Amino acid sequence: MTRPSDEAAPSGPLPRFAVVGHPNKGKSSLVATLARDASVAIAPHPGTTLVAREYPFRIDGVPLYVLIDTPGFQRARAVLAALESRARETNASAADRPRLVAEFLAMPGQRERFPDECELLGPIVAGAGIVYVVDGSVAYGPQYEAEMEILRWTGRPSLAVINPISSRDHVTEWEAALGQFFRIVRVVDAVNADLQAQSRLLKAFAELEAGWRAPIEAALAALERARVGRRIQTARAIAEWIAQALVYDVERRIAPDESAELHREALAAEYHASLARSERAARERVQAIHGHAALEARADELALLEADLFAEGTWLVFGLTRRQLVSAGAAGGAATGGVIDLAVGGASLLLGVATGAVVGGVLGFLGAQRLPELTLVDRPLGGRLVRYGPARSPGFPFVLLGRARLHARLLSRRTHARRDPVEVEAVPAAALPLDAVFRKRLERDFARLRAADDAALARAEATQALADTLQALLAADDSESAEAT
Amino acid sequence: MGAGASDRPPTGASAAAGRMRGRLALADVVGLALALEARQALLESERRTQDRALAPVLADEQGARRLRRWVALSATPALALRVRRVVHAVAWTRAVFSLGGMLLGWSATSALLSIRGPGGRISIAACLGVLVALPFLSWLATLFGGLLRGRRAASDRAPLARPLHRLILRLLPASVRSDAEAIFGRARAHAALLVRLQRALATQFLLLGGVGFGIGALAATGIFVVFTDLAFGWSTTLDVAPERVHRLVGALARPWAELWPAASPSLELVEATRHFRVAPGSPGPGDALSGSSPLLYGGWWPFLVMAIACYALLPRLLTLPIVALVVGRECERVLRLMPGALALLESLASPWIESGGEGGQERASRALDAMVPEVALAGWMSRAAGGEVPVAIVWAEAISPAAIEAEIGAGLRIHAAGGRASVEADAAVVRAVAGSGGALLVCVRGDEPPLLELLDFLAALRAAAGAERALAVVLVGGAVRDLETWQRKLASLADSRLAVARIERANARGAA
Ligand SMILES: Nc1nc2c(ncn2[C@@H]2O[C@H](COP(=O)(O)OP(=O)(O)OP(=O)(O)O)[C@@H](O)[C@H]2O)c(=O)[nH]1
Ligand SMILES: [Mg+2]
Repeated sequence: MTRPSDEAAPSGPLPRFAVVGHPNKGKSSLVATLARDASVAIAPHPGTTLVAREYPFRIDGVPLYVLIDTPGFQRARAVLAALESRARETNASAADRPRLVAEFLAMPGQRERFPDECELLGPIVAGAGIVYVVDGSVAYGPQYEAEMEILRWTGRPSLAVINPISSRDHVTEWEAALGQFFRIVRVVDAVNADLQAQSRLLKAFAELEAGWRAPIEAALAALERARVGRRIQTARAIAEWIAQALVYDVERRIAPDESAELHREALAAEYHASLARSERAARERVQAIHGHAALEARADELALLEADLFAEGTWLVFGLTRRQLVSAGAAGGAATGGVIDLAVGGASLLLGVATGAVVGGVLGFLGAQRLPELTLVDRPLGGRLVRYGPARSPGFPFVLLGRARLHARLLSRRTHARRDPVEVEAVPAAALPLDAVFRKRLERDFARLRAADDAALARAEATQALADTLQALLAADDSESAEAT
Repeated sequence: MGAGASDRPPTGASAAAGRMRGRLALADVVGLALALEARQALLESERRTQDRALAPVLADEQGARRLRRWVALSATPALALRVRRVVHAVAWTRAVFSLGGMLLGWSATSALLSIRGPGGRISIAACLGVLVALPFLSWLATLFGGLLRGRRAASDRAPLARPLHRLILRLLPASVRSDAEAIFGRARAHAALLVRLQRALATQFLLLGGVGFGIGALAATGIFVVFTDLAFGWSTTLDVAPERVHRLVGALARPWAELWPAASPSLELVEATRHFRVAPGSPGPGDALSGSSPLLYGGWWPFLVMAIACYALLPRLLTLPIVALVVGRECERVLRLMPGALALLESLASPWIESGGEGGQERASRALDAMVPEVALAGWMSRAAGGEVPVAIVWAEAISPAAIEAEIGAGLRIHAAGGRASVEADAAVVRAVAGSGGALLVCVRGDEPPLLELLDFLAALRAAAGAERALAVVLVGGAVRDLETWQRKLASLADSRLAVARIERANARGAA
């Protein structure tokens, strides 16, 4: 039985890439991004990484290549001086240098004197390719030369990565300096590189040695498939959440002579709270799908007030068209441009897309809004129920979807080098257009879900249909963001 | 391949491969339900290993068929046996319904044909009612309840199916019962998905019962016709002309009138077999079998036989294949929507990628809590100088001599260390400055991290210059965060006379 990955598995030794450099230049960040591992220790202080750690890339258990995160150089000049004096003593030629480095590392006492250099040079001497990382936001200086010289002594193939940590101010200067030591120099933001940038970088890795291309290409193909898989799972998680939220209601038994209104506030609070809970659960699922299970959940949950979920301004922002919101108010819309902020500013999070005409429509719509209703139900065996929900407003599922979509998009682009919480609210909603085709499909799916109510089979099918639509939508989001970069 | 034939359970890879192109059937639903349950019990890693091993074999199948193939390949013999038992149970249920219907049809017909009314006549109307009209109406009801109603209905309630299935479950032997829950039960996780499948199955069972009934009725009629003399008659209190009855009967007999004219009752037969309890004066067909030939009274039987065949039996025979199709379609639907099935398909479709770090959480350093104090350079210098000329050591060309003089004032002694300088040169600098007095300034780039190499140098400097000599690290440029980084890192030297100061980068231009 052969598997696709068997053919791609390298016949010789595995391609190995040692990510090395000065301390605190984003070596661990680069590894975390490429290895999709959120557990990599990354911290603002230098010297975070203490030992070399391997990150093998495996498909179905077959390893294709290995990334190695290493500690930064700490005593490069002393090591170089020791190497040079050995070379003088033994009268060694340039061809002997790799052997000299290996012998130097093997000498007793070196591990105590040069722990960092031993950790980082060990994998290189053992055959890894060199990925040298520098920070493009600080100036080049002579203190880098000893490390680059040592790397040259190892005789291993190498490339340099300029990681513009806080700016690109010194990138050109670095390109000139690195060009003298490295054949390949790439600029890659270790923390924010998108999948395309990552795959370009991996392709550059593959060029380091003959025979490394096939396994890297196989890995890239598998990563692309995995991305589609994540999209499918995300679409399903969101669809299941929306399906559940669409028909969600809360009930309470009341005495025959009790007024239902007395319960409105408590029921509404319960309704909103469990809606927020379910959103959090859905987000956690999506985070787990993207390998960010441990991600801190920032308190940006569905704000529970009418001002957020149930505010028409919010719906507007999340892709509802003018036509759906417009009622009589639209005609006078242009005239109300000046009061946009008054009308929606307090209520909606993201004003970027609200034009005067649309807000006019919203103002008109406010009168006709349909929040979750309070209904009285007579029970067949006596007694009465008061029920809050489900939310029947046409915009409701669009708001849920809009939020989930933003969250999913942030996660699908988020590298595993980031340690800050996800902030959905910080994304401009203008980046979330919903074209007419998708809107129609979604309307149909939502209607189907509402009609299915509690019929399990119909619900399952309608949920699946919604998941299919969402998958297409997320795919469109992805390809669009790929174009943008 | 009919529904019955394709219900054979998977017995192994070869048998399953033979069935692959067939319709999806109950066996597949039962198999998948049981196999997914077994899968639930596996560890995540076992599941993954199994999926990855089967994935290449399943690559050329899609959707529900891939699931079926997966069941065939992954099922243990024990599981296959359980599936087979459930499928046999369903086959038995079908047989019970058919035979039961047959028995019922036989007994009802025998009873009807044995009960002689006044004048020894059998009521043709009662026969038609019980053996034709009733089955026909129940066929319509079955069809409506089972297939037409509720196709898009919001409700899952299946009034007929539920008690029926409970009855079936009760009739099954205990060993099969728990497995049979996979299709008849409501206890399983996927029970809610089964409603339509169950409804279709109930329809199938009822249709089979009806078919049995029709066959039983026909058989009984045949036997009675051959071995007894049947005398049919009809009567009514209403003033109905025989012509109208004839027209009605003729309409019923239209489907077969051409084929078998004798099975379409003539007007004479209708007139002759009308029967009145009281015969007023005139001689007529009123009293028992007077007048016409006794054979005439039996003339109804072809009509009765054809009516049973055409209205009780045929519609069911025609709808059975349709229901079989519906069962197959519902099976496919349930397969697709069964909890865990989608996850399985995804797991089969996507290779397992591992790219994370080896060996659990890595060992990483933490920043120290202690911090070397920051000082303002000018104040610190005036306090520390003690009349001697301060010494500035520029580390790795962090700042140009001109710039440092502009910053601190002329008359400094300036040395260079680090960077391109050799390790011996550093040591020489340490020796050179140790002999003199005055405050020691080590100027470094603030935007670069403190390296152990520098810390080694500072330690050597301290050792050579004595514990009381004023020593400050001057950061050239760098952000506030960098300052903190330096303060913490330098604290590891545990040097109480060490201070950190900062000068702006703007003044330091012209380094190197
Ligand atoms: N904004 C931004 N920050 C980055 C980038 N790369 C690294 N950082 C930050 O720089 C700091 C150091 O990153 P690490 O990845 O730990 O650097 P390192 O080279 O592994 O450091 P040591 O293990 O200490 O040698 C962290 O706070 C990172 O968040 C980047 O591309 N952009
Ligand atoms: Mg690190």
